[in-house]
Amino acid sequence: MNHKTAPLEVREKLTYSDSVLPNALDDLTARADVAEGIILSTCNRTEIYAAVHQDTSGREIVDFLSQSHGLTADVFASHLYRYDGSDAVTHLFRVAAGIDSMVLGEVQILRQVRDAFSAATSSGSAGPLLNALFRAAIATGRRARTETGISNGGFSIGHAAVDLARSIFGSLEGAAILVLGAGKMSELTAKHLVASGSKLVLVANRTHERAVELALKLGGKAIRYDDFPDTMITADVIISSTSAPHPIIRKEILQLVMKKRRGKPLFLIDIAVPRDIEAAVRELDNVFLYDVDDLQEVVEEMANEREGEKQRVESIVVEETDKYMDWWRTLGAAPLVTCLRGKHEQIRQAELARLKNQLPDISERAWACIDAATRSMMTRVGKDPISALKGASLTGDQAVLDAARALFGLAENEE
Amino acid sequence: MIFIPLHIGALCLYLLSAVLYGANLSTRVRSHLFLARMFYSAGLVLHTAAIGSFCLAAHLSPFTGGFGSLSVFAWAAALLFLPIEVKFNLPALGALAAPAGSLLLFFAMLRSRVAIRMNPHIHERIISLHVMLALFAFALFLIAAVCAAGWLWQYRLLKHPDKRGLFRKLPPLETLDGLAFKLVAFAMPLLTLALALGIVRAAEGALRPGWMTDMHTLVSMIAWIIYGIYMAARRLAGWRGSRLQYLLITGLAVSLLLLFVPGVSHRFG
Repeated sequence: MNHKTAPLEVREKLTYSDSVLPNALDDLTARADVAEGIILSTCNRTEIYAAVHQDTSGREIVDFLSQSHGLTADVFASHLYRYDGSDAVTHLFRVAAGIDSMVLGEVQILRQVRDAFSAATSSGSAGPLLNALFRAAIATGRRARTETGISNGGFSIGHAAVDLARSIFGSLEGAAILVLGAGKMSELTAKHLVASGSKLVLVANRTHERAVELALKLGGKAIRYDDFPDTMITADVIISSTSAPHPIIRKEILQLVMKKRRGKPLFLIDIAVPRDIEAAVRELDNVFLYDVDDLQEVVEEMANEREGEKQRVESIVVEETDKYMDWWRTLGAAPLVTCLRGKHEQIRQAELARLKNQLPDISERAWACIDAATRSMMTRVGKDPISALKGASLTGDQAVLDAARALFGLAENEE
Repeated sequence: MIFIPLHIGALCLYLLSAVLYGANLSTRVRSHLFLARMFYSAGLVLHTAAIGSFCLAAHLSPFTGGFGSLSVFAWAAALLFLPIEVKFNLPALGALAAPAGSLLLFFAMLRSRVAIRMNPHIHERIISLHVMLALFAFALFLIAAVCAAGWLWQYRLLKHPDKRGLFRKLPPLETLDGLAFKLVAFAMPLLTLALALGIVRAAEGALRPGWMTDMHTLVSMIAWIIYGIYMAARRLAGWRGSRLQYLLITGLAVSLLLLFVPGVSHRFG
């Protein structure tokens, strides 16, 4: 189930915390029909990926969910979904790529998929099928994020501010922030910038105590409100959110400030209503002013961009699903391939043993050369038939598989 | 005359890479960037072969004529740009630099049929070094001007909220500004040395009297002064912002004048 199929009241009943996950995985794979299992449990979804010996219409999984949470199935059964084969593969790849998430393109889900996989690997519940599936899912998630803009930007004004600041300053490590006003909005925006690397934060507020309070929260320093015009000379980003009825930063003041800054870019974020910064400051060179409406536009634009990228991610998912399914289909030839390789190795070992009897005085070095040469020979001999067997398995060409059994005398040994 | 088709091949590859760099800028498809870099590299290889074949065929220094000098200029810019673009991960600049390089090469090819008027001093090592240093310095100035153009583009996008769609795809202002400064800082000693060598050789009599008032010499000096002002303004006075970028573009425009102003005594082609 996920956020689309189940409300929070139901989702929260079916989560698996990190502490119970190992036992849950053991219980899952202890079931008769479940060969491999991985549990992906986040605040938005609880999903169980299982490789089963026979199709039980998901009954085993419903029973497992029911028993591990002490709930009757009717509490949650109507919120469940089930995918088989390639549909299940596609679903996991979409999840890892972030296009099945509540926030399109969110990055945490990829880490959560990775964590679920590593928990299953540690407990030994992931076998070859799910191992390959989750590795492919993680690779798909990475591809989606590097090849498309699905995870670009963010969804809040704070994200937009960080995005814009990065477009001006590159890294925010050395950027100095001046926060005017100690309101909630300026706090949130400043927090985003601090989280992105800004280390120097100065806070000014008419009530100095509130400035001190906010500065403590942001790991910065409070300054007297009257000192803020001088501080503008050294600041890189100014976040203004005071409750002043008139603009507190006027064009004439900023003109003088910019002269002293010698053109150094200044990013002004005005999130106050009524506005704190005179709109005319936009006319000044190297001054970048963004008010609430501008930032909201950036947020909307980022959301639209992500939406536009979704189709490209879907294509990657389709491509990766095909790749995984091709690999999965070649598994049908695996017993035959193993058998053929085993037979070749048997012949090689027998011939080597015979040769050793005929040439007892041969040196270790020469023997190593013979061993390597025969190994390489058998690999080459087997290369074309093995590739043909994999191809036949991929296309479901049973006639070729049968012919191989007959030609190489593998029928009896295959299992 | 194999160098002509080789030059055409290189030009086509540069143009193709310019298109792909542009496509990468708008779509951000990684394969576009990969192909853009591949075509650019292939163009560079072909361009190297073209210059080499010219020297072999004509038994002349590439700086003998305007065609060769311009071609080496375009080649030096391409050679320097690729590692810079990859190291600083600035594929967006490729959309500006690749067309600029292609344009230079195109102008070079327009001069391919102009008869070469041999200057007896062109094969002197000191003169070859003088030209080579100057061309590499101008190639660095060209890339710095590309950074400045990128800066002004990004500035415009960030400044006018209704036109900022592309801002996330372009490099940050500070990155472009810092890189442009580094490039000029590398180029200035090269140009200074080139001018010094030229002056020494001219004073020894390699150029006709009056070389100091030659347009070529004067324009080179003006370019040096502009870049000197840029360095001092940014480094010593702490200037930042659009004025510096305009200075870089002006510097390049003046440098490019060298290709068009008639050099009376300072003529190598």
